[in-house]
Amino acid sequence: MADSKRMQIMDAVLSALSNISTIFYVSERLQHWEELDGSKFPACFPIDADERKEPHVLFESATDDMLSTLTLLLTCYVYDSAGATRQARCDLIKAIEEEFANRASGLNALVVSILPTRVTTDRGTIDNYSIFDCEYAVEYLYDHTSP
Amino acid sequence: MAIKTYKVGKVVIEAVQIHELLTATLTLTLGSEDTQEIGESWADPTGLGKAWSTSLTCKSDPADTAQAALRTEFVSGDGVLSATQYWVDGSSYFSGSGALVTNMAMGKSVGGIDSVTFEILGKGAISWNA
Repeated sequence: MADSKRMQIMDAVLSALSNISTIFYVSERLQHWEELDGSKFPACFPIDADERKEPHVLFESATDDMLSTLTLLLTCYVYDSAGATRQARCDLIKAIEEEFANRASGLNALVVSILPTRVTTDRGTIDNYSIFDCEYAVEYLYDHTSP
Repeated sequence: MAIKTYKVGKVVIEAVQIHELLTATLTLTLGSEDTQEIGESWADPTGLGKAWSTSLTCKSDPADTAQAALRTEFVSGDGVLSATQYWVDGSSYFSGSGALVTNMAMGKSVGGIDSVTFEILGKGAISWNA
């Protein structure tokens, strides 16, 4: 059985994140920041989250007749021993957006759009760490007979 | 149960199916006029000319053959089509002979997929084929 489009997209997301030289660890298995080796910061943990699907064109008039909006959630960790995590946090948010927008050709071939929708932080409550989620809306088309 | 849904049907322009259809509407009309006296009598309208028109909205695909034919007809042709078919399912359809492309509108919106709308006005009879 061929992989679903959602599966292919997440493979491409993992590949794109691995291309970012300033991310030292990418994993789908979320770990607590205090359990993570210091050499693995900044770290990124992607997960394919909620998804909304709807018919998009009359079924007999196109191959890709369903539109799906997949929520991509990237949980990110940065660490600075001096407690100045703002630079690292902003750099990482920028690097991920740039990768998705400019260089992730494999991913962009699969989707209609992948756009950032929200960044949610820990509000500075964790000393020396910045823990935040980058949320993306991934729109893609697929055929109802072959999800 | 013989109801139809968005899962079946198509529109064919000049023998080529148009793709990426979002909405398709076929409207048949009969003009009417009442010839009764003004006053207390009840209306008894008389049928005048019949007409048909089609409105199509698609995701814009400039390379699609039927979309391109409509665009070309409107932009550089005389706007006249020789064959339009509106299929309600896999075997039944309305078939119009001559038609005029009267409107083309393209749209972009933030976060959306580009769309194009065509309005087609029948120039002659339409027939039902089952």
